[in-house]
Amino acid sequence: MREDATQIEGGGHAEDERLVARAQKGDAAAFDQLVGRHTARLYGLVYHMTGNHEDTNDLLQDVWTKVFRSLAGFRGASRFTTWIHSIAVNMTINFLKRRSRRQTVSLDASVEEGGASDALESMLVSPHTPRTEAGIAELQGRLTDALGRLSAEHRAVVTMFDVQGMAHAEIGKILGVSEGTVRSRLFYAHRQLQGFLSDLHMEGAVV
Amino acid sequence: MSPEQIRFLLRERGKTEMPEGYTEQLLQQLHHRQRTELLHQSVWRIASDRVATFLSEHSLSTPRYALGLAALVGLCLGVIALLKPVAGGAAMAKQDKAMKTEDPLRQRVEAQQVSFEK
Repeated sequence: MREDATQIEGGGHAEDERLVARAQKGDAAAFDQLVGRHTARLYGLVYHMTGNHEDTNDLLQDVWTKVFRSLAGFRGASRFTTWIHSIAVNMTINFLKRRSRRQTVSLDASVEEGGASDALESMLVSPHTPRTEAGIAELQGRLTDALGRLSAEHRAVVTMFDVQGMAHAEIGKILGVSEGTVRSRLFYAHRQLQGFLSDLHMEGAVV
Repeated sequence: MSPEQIRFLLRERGKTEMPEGYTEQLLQQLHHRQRTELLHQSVWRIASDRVATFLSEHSLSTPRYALGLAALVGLCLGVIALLKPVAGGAAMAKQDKAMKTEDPLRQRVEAQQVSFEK
């Protein structure tokens, strides 16, 4: 069963509510604790949408600055985690659209031409060898390029569902769309990714 | 590449962790940014933020309450403006009368004026 968008350690949503109430009264330490509790998940979300650490860092600063400014108006209609994920996703989508990049260039993965198919085969046959690990890195590079060719909205749903393991319902709340729309976007995005990676076909491979 | 293989790769990406010490670094950057923004804010902006905070602390943050408060302040100012000329006029009339009765020179001048007119 997929986890709730925002399962967090240490007290869950009740702790968040307590910290938010304190932060709204001006307790700066409470706000810092909220940053500490949620940055890891937000980092993963933004990083896998943008593809590099520099943009992720810039965006996270913008996200938390906006959260800080808007916190007084947060009335608890949704969970705090849903709210900040919504801010992060929307700011990242706007960032990607402004950049108008069709392909993200990742500084974090290197790709060797012609090696991706062999890497996949070795990874699938014997997944725990050094050669396999290197192969996975190559494949991830190809996947990064393919993700970069998706629209910002489709990249967002793939990141939240496939990478972060969120449920359709939670993704819908974060994006402000219906669950059906989420499923539809996922289906389309998966088909597109398959098309972009079609040259890495395998026969008889088992994951 | 099959859908299952793509999903496998995507799930593997979820294991990427943020750099060690990143949260502390981020907090330092946020604090620095907040201090810089505060230093560059105009006095009026700081004052309006303080007023907004005061109103929100006293459950007056909704527009209805703000409008009500503004209307009350306006009403008070209007009442003051209406009352002031009346009070001022009475005081001035009283003062004028006092000046007329107490000033003998003025009385002689007025008497002479009357005689000229005759």
